[in-house]
Amino acid sequence: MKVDLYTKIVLTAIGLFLNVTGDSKLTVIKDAVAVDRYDYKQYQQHSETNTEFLSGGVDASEIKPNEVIMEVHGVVCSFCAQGVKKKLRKFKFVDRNRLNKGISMNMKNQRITVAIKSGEKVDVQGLFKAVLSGGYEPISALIADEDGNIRSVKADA
Amino acid sequence: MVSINSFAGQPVMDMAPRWEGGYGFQLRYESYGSDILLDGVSKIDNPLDIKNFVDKIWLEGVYTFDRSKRITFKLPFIGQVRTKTISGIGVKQKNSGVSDLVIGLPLKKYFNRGSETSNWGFTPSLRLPTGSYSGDYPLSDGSWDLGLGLSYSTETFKFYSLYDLFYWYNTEGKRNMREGNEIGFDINWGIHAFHNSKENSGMFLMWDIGARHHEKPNAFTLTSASGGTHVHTGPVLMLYRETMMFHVEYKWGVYEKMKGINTSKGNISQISAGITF
Repeated sequence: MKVDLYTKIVLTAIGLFLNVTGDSKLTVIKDAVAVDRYDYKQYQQHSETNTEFLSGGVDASEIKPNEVIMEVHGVVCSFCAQGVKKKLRKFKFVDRNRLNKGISMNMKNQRITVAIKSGEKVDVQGLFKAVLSGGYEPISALIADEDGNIRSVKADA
Repeated sequence: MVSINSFAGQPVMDMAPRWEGGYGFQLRYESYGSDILLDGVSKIDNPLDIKNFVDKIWLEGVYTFDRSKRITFKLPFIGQVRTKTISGIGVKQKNSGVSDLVIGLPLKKYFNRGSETSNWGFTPSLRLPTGSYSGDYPLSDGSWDLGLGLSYSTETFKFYSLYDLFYWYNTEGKRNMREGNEIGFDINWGIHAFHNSKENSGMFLMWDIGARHHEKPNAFTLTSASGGTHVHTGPVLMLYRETMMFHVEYKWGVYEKMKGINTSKGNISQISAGITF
């Protein structure tokens, strides 16, 4: 009887945590499409002219206008990195309407992308500090303004 | 990641929350017990139906000052039942209630190297005598106990491993009870089997091996503590979604050596759910 109860609890948890319902899959797909659509033309033009490898392993071709991509060492688990998201989202210049409430994390290559509000000035050192207090090591960042101009910044060792 | 195993020497959570000002809570249900009677390592007849079953619900919490300093607490609510030989007959005894509070101070040194994060942990702990030490089957021996843990864990996007060595120095408590010191070692290996970055959800599948050596309690000890050496192993499933996590594990006793005649610890099952902020 206890085994049955355990089985039910585990199956329910898998359903709830991994959201294995049809609706959730739709949500994921919609989000993905929304991200892909974002300023696609600008992105194309931008990536054609900025393909050089700038700093710290961040490739300029990955970045879109009004974004910051940071290379952050140690970010391998999104559950552990929630603190970084939380701290990054506190900045007023972060556009919470884009990406995943303004932040996107790639655990496979240790990249954190931050969406920036149009016309806002980015406090890159503030972003680095937020990453550090979130428990990780910021290495470098690429910052793309709304015109597609890119600059790179290294975090202080 | 969250330490899905709340080892005796481990903080409530291992990798998370690692951010400054982060905190979290976890409810963990643990169950073990058996009606198998052992004499040393040998199973013997049990005509009096001697047995011991323990259920614990732990309320656990953690606060992170910064990634190198945390404070944790663990408070168990215990329900225990046993049949014990008294004057040649089997006597049933049971008890339930809040037991001893454990306060830990995990100190960690993190290394973030490219696609890997790892940490060394040193955890001094204090077990306070908050449980009742009265009755035939008390929940606590009423002692102040000191624990020390040393751990190492490493994690990549695909793999996770944790090694934890701990020691509990158990002082003499009330009614002359002394449960005996304990040393233990845990190994936890796993893979990050699934991850959905859009929804921030995923699953870890792991295997755990735990070994314990407990000195024989003195003759005055009436708690559920029993001396002996135990090795348990089994699978662990951990799920997470945003700030919440769920874990379940089942461990079989693969080696047991009791001090004299005593009931086996049996297999161990655990289920927990936690949240971080």
